[in-house]
Amino acid sequence: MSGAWKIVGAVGLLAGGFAAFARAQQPASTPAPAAPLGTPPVAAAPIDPAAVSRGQQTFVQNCSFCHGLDARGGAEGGVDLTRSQIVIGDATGGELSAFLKTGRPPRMPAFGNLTDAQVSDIDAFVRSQNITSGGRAPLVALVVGDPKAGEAFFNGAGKCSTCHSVAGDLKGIGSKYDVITLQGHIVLPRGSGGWPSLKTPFEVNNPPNVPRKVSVTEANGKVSTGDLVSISDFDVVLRDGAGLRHTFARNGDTPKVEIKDPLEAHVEMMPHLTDEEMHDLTAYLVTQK
Amino acid sequence: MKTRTLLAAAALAAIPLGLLAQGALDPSELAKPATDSWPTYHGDYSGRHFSMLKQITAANAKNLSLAWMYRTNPSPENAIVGGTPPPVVPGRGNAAPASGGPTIKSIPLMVGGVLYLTAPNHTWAVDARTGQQLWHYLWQGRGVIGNRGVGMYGGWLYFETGDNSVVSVDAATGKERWHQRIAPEGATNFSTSAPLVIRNHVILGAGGDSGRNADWVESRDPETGELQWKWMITPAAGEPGIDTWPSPQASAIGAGGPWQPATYDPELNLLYVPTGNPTPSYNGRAREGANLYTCSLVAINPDTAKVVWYYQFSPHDTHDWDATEVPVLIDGTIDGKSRKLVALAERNGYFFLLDRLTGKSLLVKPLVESVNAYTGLDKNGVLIPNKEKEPSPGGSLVSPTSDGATNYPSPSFDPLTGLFYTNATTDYSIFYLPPDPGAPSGYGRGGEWHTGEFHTALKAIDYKTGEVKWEHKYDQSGFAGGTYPGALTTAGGVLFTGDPSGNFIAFEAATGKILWHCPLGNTYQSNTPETYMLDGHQYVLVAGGDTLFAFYLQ
Repeated sequence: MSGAWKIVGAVGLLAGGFAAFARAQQPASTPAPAAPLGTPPVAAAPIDPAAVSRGQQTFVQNCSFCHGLDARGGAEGGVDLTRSQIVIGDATGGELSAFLKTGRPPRMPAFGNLTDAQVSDIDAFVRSQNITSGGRAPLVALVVGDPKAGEAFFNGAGKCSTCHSVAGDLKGIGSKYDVITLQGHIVLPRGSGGWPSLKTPFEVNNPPNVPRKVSVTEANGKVSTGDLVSISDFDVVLRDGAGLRHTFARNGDTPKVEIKDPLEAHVEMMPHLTDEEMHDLTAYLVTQK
Repeated sequence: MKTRTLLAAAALAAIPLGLLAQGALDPSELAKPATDSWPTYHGDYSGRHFSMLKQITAANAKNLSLAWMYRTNPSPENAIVGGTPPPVVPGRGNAAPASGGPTIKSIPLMVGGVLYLTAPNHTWAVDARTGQQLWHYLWQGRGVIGNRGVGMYGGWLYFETGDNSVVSVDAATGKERWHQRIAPEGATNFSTSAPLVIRNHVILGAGGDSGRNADWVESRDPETGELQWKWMITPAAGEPGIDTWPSPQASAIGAGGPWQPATYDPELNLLYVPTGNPTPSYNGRAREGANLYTCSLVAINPDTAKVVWYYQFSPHDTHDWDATEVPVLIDGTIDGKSRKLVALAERNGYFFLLDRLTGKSLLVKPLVESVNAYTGLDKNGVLIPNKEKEPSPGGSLVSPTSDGATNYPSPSFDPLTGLFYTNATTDYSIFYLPPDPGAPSGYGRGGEWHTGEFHTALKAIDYKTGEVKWEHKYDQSGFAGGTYPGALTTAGGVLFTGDPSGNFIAFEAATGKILWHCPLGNTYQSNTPETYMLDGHQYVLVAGGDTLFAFYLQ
């Protein structure tokens, strides 16, 4: 879309019609109904009610702002933990404990200061919430496209086959990824991924990492190449083949910096890709088991 | 009628001069752009983030150097403590984070040589000459994502807490005078806004998009904290706008939180309140209709709480595009006529220009070229959402992401260049909603996959046409989590803002040429810069994470 939308017609409707609906001096608002607290399960895996209670206290203090008072996702987009594979995928709480040591910056900070006992209590609390909520299933994307159309697009207008082959680099891709991850990577295999409730187990274990390549030519002719770590108007940082980090100050065109993005074709495709084409490609690639 | 109300209110509000202690703020001063103080979140009522100061110029900005820095100290030691502690967990303190200080998203006030800044549940007074801490007020309670700062009236400060109270303290000592609950104990609301003082009103807001609460803006008495009025963002049964909701029940949990400070036109006596997104955030099926007055700008008389007009930026929003961006008041000229205008760069990826007397839409233009969630404008100049781009079971590829093409940090309008400056990002997300999203709450069981940012730029926009006069493309794209650095312009021809790599930069406002920069350490610019004169120096202040930096010419 380009060009301004100039509004020339009369918009009088907006001007005067709403002059008289103050809701002044209302009494204090009615609080929202309290979230149901975790109650001991009836016929599920035993959860210690005391642990649930302790876990709730720790949870409210450390986690509830983002994840909600009942752990089902909250005010600032923390995921619904009652559907988190990290929580419900490991009955011991060990996976959660390991996760909390590092977090997932920038959105999820580390909580390394929590003791194992506290984490175990949080785990119990979140599980109790899952049970009382009826064990809602994790969100999954539906395959809604046409695989035949997807195949035609892959080999034709989409130009995917210029770089990819279902017999080569994409062999078996349909069993490697869940649908959400697969579709996200079709668009651009570098995304920061799902939020607030789409973190898939695959994504947690395989953060996308397809760095841009950079070549830096200094005034004396020395050339350094590697993965681009960061770049601003004032400096450029690369990681070389040996994994070492090199920082160069930038002053206008010196040194000369050239960046190549292996995903350039994806970046160029994104603004033109229709939802139908995206769905068709996904429908085609999920069949590549 | 209106004038009479205004005069009466002004008379009520006047503080006898003899009662104003040194370092206090006469509320009538807030209507005049100041150069020797920074007396509100926005610096003045207009939200322009422009200063008439010109000691620092495009020619000498290269000589800027550090005056001092202040690292926030969250420790309860020596703090003045208020509030009720959250449940005590054995072996664990209640207030201090594990390491470092909390992030400064507030814009500090500077009055009488003292700075007042906040982070969630913390307020600090800092000596503006040395960067030394004078006092620390700590509110014990639930944390919150951010706090935008304090409001000031006479010698009193006001700030909101994460668990929805407003606290008034003595600016000289930090001692609490009173606190009042904005929302009841246990409410799922959260309060982050900086209180705005207008004569004898302290304007506050309660946000919260959990999908289980309503949100509102309210006014309180600066002396007693008593509620003067309260205006709910989403209407009740029988009220105007309720026909834009399927039911009063849906409206009652529809949110629309005003989590950012408003701007104000003293001449029109109108408060411009930007409102947040409706909830459940991604699940539009639970709330068919335009969902007034979410994602809107609402012009409210601060004495009567009467709504004079509204304009909705994102009708029936399903992409978490809060419209809580800054309503920038511009006194400009359109087609040769002087006009009172308001301009906004919105999270939904568009630039808007409205007549601030009537709310009439004058211009809607993409801020980033990639926007794809609307099909056009209706006869009232309001965007028409594309149903096809709502979150869907198969996924909908939408630009921008929920973080927005821009976000809450303040843009800047420079009346000398006639340009509106904002950072903006082009990016996409795939938005999902299950076929049966079930009970509406929170994000409505929807979600999004960020495909990755790939283009970020500082844009200088002609407010009359929306055309980009110049832009500076950053080589690195994306600001994490919508934390766009805010901008400041000055009569010295200098534009201050930050890049995605953590540099604080002085640009020539007319051309975009880089004049000076300073890396802020292992962090990003986290607030909007401010400027004022003190002891003959023009200071420029900016926050990076838990640290406040002050620069001047040496």
